[in-house]
Amino acid sequence: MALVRVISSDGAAFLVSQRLAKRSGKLKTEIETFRKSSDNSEAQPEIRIVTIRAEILRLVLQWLQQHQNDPVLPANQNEQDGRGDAEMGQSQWDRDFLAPMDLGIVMELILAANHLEVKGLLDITCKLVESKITGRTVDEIRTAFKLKSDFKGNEEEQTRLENRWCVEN
Amino acid sequence: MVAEKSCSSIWYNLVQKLGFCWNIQEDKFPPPISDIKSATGNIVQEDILTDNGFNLCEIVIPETILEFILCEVAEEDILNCRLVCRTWKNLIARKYLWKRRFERRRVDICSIPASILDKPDAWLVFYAHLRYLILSKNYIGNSSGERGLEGWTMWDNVGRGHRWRVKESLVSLAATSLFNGTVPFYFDNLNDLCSKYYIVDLWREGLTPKLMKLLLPFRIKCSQLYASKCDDFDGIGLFNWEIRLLNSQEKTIAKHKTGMELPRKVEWRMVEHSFNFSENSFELLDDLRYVVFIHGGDQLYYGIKLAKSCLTIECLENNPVPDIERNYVQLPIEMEDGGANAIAKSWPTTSVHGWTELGRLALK
Repeated sequence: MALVRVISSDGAAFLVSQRLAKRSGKLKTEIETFRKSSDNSEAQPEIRIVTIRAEILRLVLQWLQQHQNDPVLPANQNEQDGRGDAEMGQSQWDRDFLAPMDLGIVMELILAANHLEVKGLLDITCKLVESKITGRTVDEIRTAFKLKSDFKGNEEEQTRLENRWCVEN
Repeated sequence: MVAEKSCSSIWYNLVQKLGFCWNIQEDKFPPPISDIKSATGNIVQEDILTDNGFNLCEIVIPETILEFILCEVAEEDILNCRLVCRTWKNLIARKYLWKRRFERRRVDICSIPASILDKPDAWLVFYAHLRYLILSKNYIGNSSGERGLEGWTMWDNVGRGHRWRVKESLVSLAATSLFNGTVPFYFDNLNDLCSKYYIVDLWREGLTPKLMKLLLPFRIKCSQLYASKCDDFDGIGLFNWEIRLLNSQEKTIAKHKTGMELPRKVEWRMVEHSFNFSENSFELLDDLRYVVFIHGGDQLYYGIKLAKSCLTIECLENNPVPDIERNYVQLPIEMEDGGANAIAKSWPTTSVHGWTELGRLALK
């Protein structure tokens, strides 16, 4: 079985099958690039991901492994066939996988899924973030994402007023 | 890093202008934090200093991802998101974000006239259309009796109860070109004095005063299909139709009234009326709230059949031309086309839904 070494920003190396790694658009490209530039077709590719730390990389690979037999979602999947694909891909396993994570980890996972081009993982993590917005008050949203209001003066009041343009008085 | 950012900003601007859609996983476009544009197209200077809206749980995420997330947020929650911070507010004002939200929900953005797309507050229209379909729906929820008499208020002045029923249509009805597909039911008025009305609360339907002003020029278009039902007898049906626009105090601002006799065997026909609103109607729109859609027949005649009661909002490209202008809403408008006495005689005397206008009129 052809393997590839994937190395995190903090130097941890993960040895995974190329078949699995290729389910990430980014790793697929990297492996192919390595093949072209290498004289030895048997050489084991080594890919350094400088933006992703070991803990997060492990989670991405874990997710990929669980979903290795899913049909690959095209990275440039059009929005037309979009609504519902996040739900479609979200299994009980995914829910259990995401459940213990705090939002900071989820945000890192989003960045990693985006960088590694893992559409399915990006969808479920974004969906999770969206669920932290749904039905929440403004303060709850700010607290959840550690965001501070940066409105100046009466800007927030003004925005509230604009929101009232949309609803029945 | 700085150079990279400004370079990608140029790309970003170009892409924005050309309207290209880029792949969310394409990482050639890091967040152009420095050039968030407000809906008016002005660069919001402060945003150069505060990129805090992209910083979620101390992780700075690319703009495309934040946009992706905000596209997922339902209409019920999107207004709240405007209040979170400036970055989010500015993103939600963007036409581009709404285009994606429309795609996501498979609603055609072409329902929004091009003239509105670039207005500074266009997000209001996008929001209202996605949430309430203001520009494509029929505001009369039960237009032909699909749900029995639901939503319609009946009245009669002869103390025998209303004489409306819903009948399943015959093949001939569906075949009429006016129906544009099948209308399985119609309202059947037994040979008696009776009318019914449907109240549309425009504000509750998402058409708030601010929104109506944004839609200018537009028209409220009403139509009704009607036919005589006296196939077997020599008789005349009387069809009365009246549309009233009321303000929030339920006072009539304008009305259109028409009535006609239908000889035996009149096939389905359509009656139509539009209330046009131009830029001159600006102040009037502050308090336009209800539309009352009334139709009925008369006891002295044989009954009538009614289907496809329709009230839609249509944006106009130009302010209405002079020959339509006579229909401009004025205070007050009286259009007595005759034959509508049956309705005038038969106003219910009790208030319905807290709506007392009909009651007041009955006293006159």
